[in-house]
Amino acid sequence: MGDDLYREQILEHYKNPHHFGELADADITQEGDNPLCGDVITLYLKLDDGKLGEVSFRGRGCAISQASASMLTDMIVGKPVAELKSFPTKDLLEELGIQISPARMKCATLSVNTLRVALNGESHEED
Amino acid sequence: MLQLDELEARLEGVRLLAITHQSNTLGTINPIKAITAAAHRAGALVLIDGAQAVPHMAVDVRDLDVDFYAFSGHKMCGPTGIGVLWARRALLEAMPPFLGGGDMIKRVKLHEASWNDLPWKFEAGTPSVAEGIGLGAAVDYLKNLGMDQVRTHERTLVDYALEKLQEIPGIVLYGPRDPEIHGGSISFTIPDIHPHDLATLVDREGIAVRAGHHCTQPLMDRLGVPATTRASFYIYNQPDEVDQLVSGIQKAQKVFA
Repeated sequence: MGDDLYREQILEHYKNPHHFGELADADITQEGDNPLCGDVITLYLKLDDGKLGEVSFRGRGCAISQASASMLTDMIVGKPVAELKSFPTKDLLEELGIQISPARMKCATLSVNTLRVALNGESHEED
Repeated sequence: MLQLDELEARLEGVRLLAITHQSNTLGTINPIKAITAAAHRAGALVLIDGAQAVPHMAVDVRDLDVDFYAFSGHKMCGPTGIGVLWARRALLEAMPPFLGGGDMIKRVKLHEASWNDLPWKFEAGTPSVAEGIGLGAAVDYLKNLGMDQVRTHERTLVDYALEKLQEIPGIVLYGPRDPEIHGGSISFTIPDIHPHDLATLVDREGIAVRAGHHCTQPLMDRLGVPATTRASFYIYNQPDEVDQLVSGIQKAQKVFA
């Protein structure tokens, strides 16, 4: 993994997030936040025949939290919901492709934790 | 902003006023003497949180005329897990122990007990010996430097930092502009850069700052920000580190431009 925390791809996702905005007819709307640092996101999920038909998010926070949410939406759209219920955190961290310090880990994983709550009703922390 | 002229009226019926000597978020040095006088006129006792003041300036509890004064060891080069609560003798004598244990009793019978003298009445159980010795060493060290010298050194840094930081385009500085009432912490935000991102980038330039709500969430709400970045100075800092901070912020602005 690279050491450049603010590499071009992450800044690009932060400045121009993918799937950003509200889905008016979402089946599931889930908020997630890190109260200690003030990162907030809301995930909007629309299901379509056992798959995630559409996804969007809104949020406010640091570049890491918002870029990771943007990347996550790219990774999950169109996937079977059954599979997404246990979406591995490490897949998102690999996609981010940067070394995340313990202090910033909550920022990086806010979106995937919120997805897990949205689909399972609670967050299952993985090892 | 504290509204001192309203303080006395607002304290009607209040028994204890607790207030910080120096704000850990804004750096504001509060006018404790005036606040204490107003509180006493209204019949309230005064407790001061001096955790940010005692390490940074000469503090005379008698001159301030306060009733209780607290500070902690780890903010003054001392160990964690220890602090000091000073109070007027008459108040300490009137108060019951808050914790039972070894050393706080004088005599115990089956149905009654009497408490030890001060300060043992409030120091139940096995004392934190190492922490006490460590804090004592920290006090000696700072006394030897001279607290007026410490304050002068920090004032020079704050003066310089306020001047240099104000030159950064778009920066929002919180807290007073007058270095006379601005202690050694400066909180700020930069448009379009989240404080945590800013802290991480400045850290890479060798400058450690704190980002977050600084345990003052209601103040963050009042200021309308989720968090701020805060630079704090102490005896070991030098003006060239202010320059390093400024260039770190400028680099961060380029990254996020």
